[in-house]
Amino acid sequence: MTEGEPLLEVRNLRVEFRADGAPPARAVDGLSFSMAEGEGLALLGESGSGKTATALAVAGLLPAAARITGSVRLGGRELLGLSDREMRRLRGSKIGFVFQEPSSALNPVLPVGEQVAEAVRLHGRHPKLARHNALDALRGAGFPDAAARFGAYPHELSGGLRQRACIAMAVVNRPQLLIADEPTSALDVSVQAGILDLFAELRTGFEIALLLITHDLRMAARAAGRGLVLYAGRAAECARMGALLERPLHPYTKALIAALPQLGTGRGRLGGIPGSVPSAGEILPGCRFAPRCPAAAEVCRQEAPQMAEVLPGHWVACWQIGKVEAPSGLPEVRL
Amino acid sequence: MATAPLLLVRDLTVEYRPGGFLAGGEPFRAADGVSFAIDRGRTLALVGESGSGKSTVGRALVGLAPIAAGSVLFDGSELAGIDQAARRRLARRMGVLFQDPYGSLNPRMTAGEAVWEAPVAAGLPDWPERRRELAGELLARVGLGPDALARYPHEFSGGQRQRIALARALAMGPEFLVLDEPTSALDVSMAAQILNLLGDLQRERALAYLLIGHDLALVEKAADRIAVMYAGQIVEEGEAAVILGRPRHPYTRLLLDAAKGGRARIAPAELRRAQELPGCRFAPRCPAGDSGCLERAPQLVETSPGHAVRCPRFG
Repeated sequence: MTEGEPLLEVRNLRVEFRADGAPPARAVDGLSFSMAEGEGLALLGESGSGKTATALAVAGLLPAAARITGSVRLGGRELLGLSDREMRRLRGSKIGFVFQEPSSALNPVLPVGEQVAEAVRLHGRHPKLARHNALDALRGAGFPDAAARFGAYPHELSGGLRQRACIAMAVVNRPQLLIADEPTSALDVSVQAGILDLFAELRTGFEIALLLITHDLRMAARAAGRGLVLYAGRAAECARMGALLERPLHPYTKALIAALPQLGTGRGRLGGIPGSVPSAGEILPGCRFAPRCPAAAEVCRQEAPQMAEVLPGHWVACWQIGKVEAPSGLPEVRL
Repeated sequence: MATAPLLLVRDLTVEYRPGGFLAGGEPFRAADGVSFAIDRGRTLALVGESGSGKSTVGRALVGLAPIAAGSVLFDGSELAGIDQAARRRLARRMGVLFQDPYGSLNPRMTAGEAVWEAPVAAGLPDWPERRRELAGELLARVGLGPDALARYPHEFSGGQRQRIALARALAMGPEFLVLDEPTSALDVSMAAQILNLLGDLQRERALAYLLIGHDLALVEKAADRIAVMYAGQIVEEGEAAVILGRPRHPYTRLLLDAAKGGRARIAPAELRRAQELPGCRFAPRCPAGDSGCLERAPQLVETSPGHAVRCPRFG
């Protein structure tokens, strides 16, 4: 990999599912983004936004019925088109994956320590050090009394500890990229923060880049530096997490933030977005968010907006923002 | 004196007896001496971590968990120890909404059938003729169009399924609903819609809610009062603004800090074992605890009007 080349580069990714007789459902529609080594990027959006399909496409975990086009390059190497066997090897070594439900990702009849060690035996550089590495990974994943609990079975652990075991398994071979799909939604709020801090530690301590899939922007800000908001399979906005939370530009991002309850604001209504994400089968000509958008105009219903950099490092796909040009040449942005 | 609360719970205890090869072993007290009151048109939020017993309390109120001891007065009628027929009569006035709307809807029943099923089974008068009409009205009230009547659960999104479950709960004309984590399986924008809808319905129909949850930021939006549970007991209870603004129990403070994104970590709990402790159940995890806390079992005491705390450092 040459200097300055991104770790992960996704170009014009399309994911379609075809069922007999039905029109194809496009879950991801022309998505492009890149990640630097050790970077944390959050894919944000509701169910149906395409965030999970994107993550599964990068990890090569989509079912055979999915039709994937575009390009996914990890460290300069094209991943689309690799055989199942090559992808499996990559997933154990270069790419780690953490699922939402730790209970279904773990084998219930095998001690968690053994499961982590198994990952080293299958894909690690030093299979003989499996037990040793597994113990290290459990400690690194914040497992209290890792040595004492090496032989614990999944059912003997709390949900938070089970997820830590899954993370240990995903990072034990020091992957370059860790993909986590809603890793905290099944956990208590009090446990979520610790798991997100762990991802941040893995990034800074071991340069493991994190692709975090979530619908909770505030949780994302804890572990990722940048966020990419998806809507109905397309990119809506991409910026540093701080900028997304404090001065979101896309009406959809604004609505997502208004819907998040914030402590200290007292009793009352939450900002909501009427309606729901269109299903992947409905192809609308214009901006996909237009039917739910309070700012939608005629152009929004006719033509799809493209991503444009309206502030340094802040990209938005919205006619209502890209159109407003300031005389100085810098686009005027109403904050 | 103010009017009596709609729901008055005193020392509610729920025990689960081990079955199978462990039968005859020590029963586990999932709820241990829980007391609270809810007025008409008001919301009490019951918050705590997984395993704190908060869902057990909600289930016991609607007859889904056995009441081992204590009293549950609903509009003056005792629910503990009543027979099935009496329970069924009262059940019309109490409903429940669960976390997973998919699991609570029959996949082979249309949304319309789901809504009119319960009133029909209860033999409510006038229903057979007006079924479709009333189900349509209820589904419209929760934000679903007339085409929803004849569709099946799998054809709806998670948020829409929760709306169907809510319409079904409303069909009996309840005065009280247990809301057991009603939005935690939903996306943020769907969760906001459901929470707003629950608030509107509460104002319209003077519904009383027991809202069970673990997300304090969400609970703040909907609760008049908050009770914090730990290891089967309420450890702090009071007005929502007081609990969130000036919490006294160290556990409430830790939960609040975690919800605000603080760095403080709560050590992993072993809630089952906590119940065997002679002293304060939270002492092993408590940042403020001393050796005395391990010996004295604290009572829930009112430290200021309407604000009760269970901590050895307060009486």
